[in-house]
Amino acid sequence: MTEYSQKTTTLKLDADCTIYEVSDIHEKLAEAFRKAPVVKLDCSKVENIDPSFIQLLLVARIEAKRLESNLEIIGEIEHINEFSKKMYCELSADDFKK
Amino acid sequence: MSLDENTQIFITESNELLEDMESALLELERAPNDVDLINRVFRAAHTIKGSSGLFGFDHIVAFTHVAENLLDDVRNCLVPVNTDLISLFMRVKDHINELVTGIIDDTEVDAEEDKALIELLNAFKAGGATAEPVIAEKTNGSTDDASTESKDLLKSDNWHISIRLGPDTFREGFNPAVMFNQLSALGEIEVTRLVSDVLPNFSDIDSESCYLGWEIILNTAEDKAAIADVFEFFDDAQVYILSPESCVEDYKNMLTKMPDDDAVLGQVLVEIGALTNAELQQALNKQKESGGLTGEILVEQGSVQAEVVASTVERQKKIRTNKQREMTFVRVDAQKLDKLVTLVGELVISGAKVSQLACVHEDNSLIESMEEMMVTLEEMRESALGLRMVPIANTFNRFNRVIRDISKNLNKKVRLQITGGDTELDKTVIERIGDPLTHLIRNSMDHGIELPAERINAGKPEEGVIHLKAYHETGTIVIEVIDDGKGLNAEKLLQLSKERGLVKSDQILSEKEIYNLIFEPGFSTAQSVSNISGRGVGMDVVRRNIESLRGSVVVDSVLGKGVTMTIRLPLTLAIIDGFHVRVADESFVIPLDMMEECVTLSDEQKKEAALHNYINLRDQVLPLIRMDDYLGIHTANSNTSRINVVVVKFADKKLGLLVDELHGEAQAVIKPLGRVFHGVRGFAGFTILGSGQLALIMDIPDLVKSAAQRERNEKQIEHRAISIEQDINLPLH
Repeated sequence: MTEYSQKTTTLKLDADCTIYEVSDIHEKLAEAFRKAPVVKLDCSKVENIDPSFIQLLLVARIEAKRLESNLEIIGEIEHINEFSKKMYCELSADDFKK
Repeated sequence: MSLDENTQIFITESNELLEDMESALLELERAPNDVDLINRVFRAAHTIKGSSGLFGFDHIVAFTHVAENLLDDVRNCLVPVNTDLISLFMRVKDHINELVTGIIDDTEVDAEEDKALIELLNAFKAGGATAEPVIAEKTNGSTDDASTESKDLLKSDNWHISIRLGPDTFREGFNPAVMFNQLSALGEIEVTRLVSDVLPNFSDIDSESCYLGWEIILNTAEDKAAIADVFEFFDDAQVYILSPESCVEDYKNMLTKMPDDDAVLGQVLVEIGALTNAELQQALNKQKESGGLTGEILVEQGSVQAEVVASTVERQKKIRTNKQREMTFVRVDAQKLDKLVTLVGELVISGAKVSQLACVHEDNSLIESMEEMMVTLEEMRESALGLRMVPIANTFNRFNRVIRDISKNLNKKVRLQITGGDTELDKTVIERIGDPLTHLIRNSMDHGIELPAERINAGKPEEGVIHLKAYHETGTIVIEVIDDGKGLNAEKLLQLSKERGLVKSDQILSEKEIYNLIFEPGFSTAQSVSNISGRGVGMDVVRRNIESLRGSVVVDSVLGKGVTMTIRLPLTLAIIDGFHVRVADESFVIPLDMMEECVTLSDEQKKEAALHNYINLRDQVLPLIRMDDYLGIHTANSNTSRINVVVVKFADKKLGLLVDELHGEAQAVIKPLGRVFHGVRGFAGFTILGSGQLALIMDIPDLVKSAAQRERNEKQIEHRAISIEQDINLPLH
């Protein structure tokens, strides 16, 4: 599922993004960060999420800032927004690009 | 009816509680919102109710119960504190007092008063309205406003919640959203900040563990327990809930309502709702690990404001010191104390006897031992007398109530100022000084302090001041009653005295002498007799009472500015330091505190003394009393080669007593003269000297008065003798 490009790495996520998958996603994200400055996280297929996923997104965002790179979340992410809002872990507006 | 020991204790303690209740009520009048004072009144009633129950005094229980109920409502801010309420409780206190004293002599309960008060108490309880229509005072309205205001403030204040979720939160399937939902149900979540600084690095993170935490500001009217409930299931979570600022006052208030037991700081905070058990546990755990004070840890944690901790600590300290102080007081039967003092006195006398004998036998080691013993005896004497010394503050404070009641009666504004309340007096003296002082104060209030309008016209503050001052002065205690009223009018006084025949029309008196005429019997300048004073039997009785205590009272005044009454009393009535003198063959003891000096007359002075009844002492006239003449005792060989004069001073006047021999200082245990000698003037009692001889103790003020009276009588007799002569001679002219 990983496509490599020169300046951007896109990581496409599956439907399930819960605590059972979160370790795996973490590893893949780490790899993506190593490969390219801009990481695109394709969440269009994501359906099941839980708090651990939101935490991961949060930490990933902070990491991206630290690396002075960018984490772009693409796809229909309205449900992710809602979920994180309810948890008071909102991702800021500029993280979302359609 | 003889009472057993326990009942006596009950009565004494109840009286103390009632006194405390009264002083708290008086202070409450000036500070109607002081929760501490309200609690004092409540606790007094509550304790009396409890003890009465123990003893089976059901009528007291029944009455106090009604009072206690109303007080509970006052405590809970359901009934406001105002002057009417306080006046009611003054009556309540008086009634309970009557009920308690009624136990001693088995008197019947004043059923009318009982019923009336219960009705009034219930009326107040039913909603702040009095049984009779009363104009609600301004204070009434403002306390109501204040309480609703503070409730509004509470609503606008925010709770600070600090939460760090435990690492297994995700594994246990918990979603923080649930927590936020519940918080929203309690109130408004004003601000939330996700704590990102505790999130580990991306590379380090264990993504299955939870590292989330928030700082939340929640606006809610709920209490801490309700908020804490939200986090009930988040076992591993660290939650700190800090109350809004306004709650600090509430917590402090709750502190005062807590029972007075020596509970641990943490417990107290949990009980008043400032802390949850979980928070306390966390703090205690931390304490176990790294030590430190519970209070400090709690504040650092963010569970409790520093102010609340400080108040709690202070309160615990106070309770502890009170408990300590309670333990250092012992109740002693006054009779036992008196017996001890008497025995000490006897010991002093015996000691003096043995001391004398030791000197006679000229055994040096014996003399030395005796001196040591005398020193110890002296200390013992001081100590024993000290046992009976009581600070005059108790007596002075009683007058707050007297002044309050009278000022309401007369529609005058008066306040009491007290200086030197810690001055100590012998118990017996204090008991007997209360009545005279009361009368003097009543007098000042009735005749001295002017009505508020008059005072303002005179350029004085509306509120008059009665100043009670007490201090020691070489062996005596001085009590001053000073008022800033209109003072005494010397002219008017003189005129009235002349009208009443107390002063002859041609007599010339100094201003001070005129003022002191008010102590003459039958004197009263009040045009009408009020129920407070003015009956004309007051001031002379006051003076007599004070003089029976071997004291004196004088009055001074400045017209328009006020009056000062100065009472002088001896420090103790039991043992005095005296000076032994001999007149003819008899021994007498003169109280040392009355003595100024001893003078042996020079030849010139002797001549003077023989001619007049005074001598020139350092350019001042010193009137003399020839003791042998006065006492009517002469020895066969009245030796006039050496004449000694003992100079005594009392109430600013000096006098010389002509005696035959001076024998030096002697301690005398005053033994009262028998009833047979009641009418004898000039002597306060007798004592037994070290030699075993009997000596009469002179009562200097009385002696002087009686000597003066005698002289006046003699002059009158002379006068009449001359006029009779003239009458007889006239027809023969």
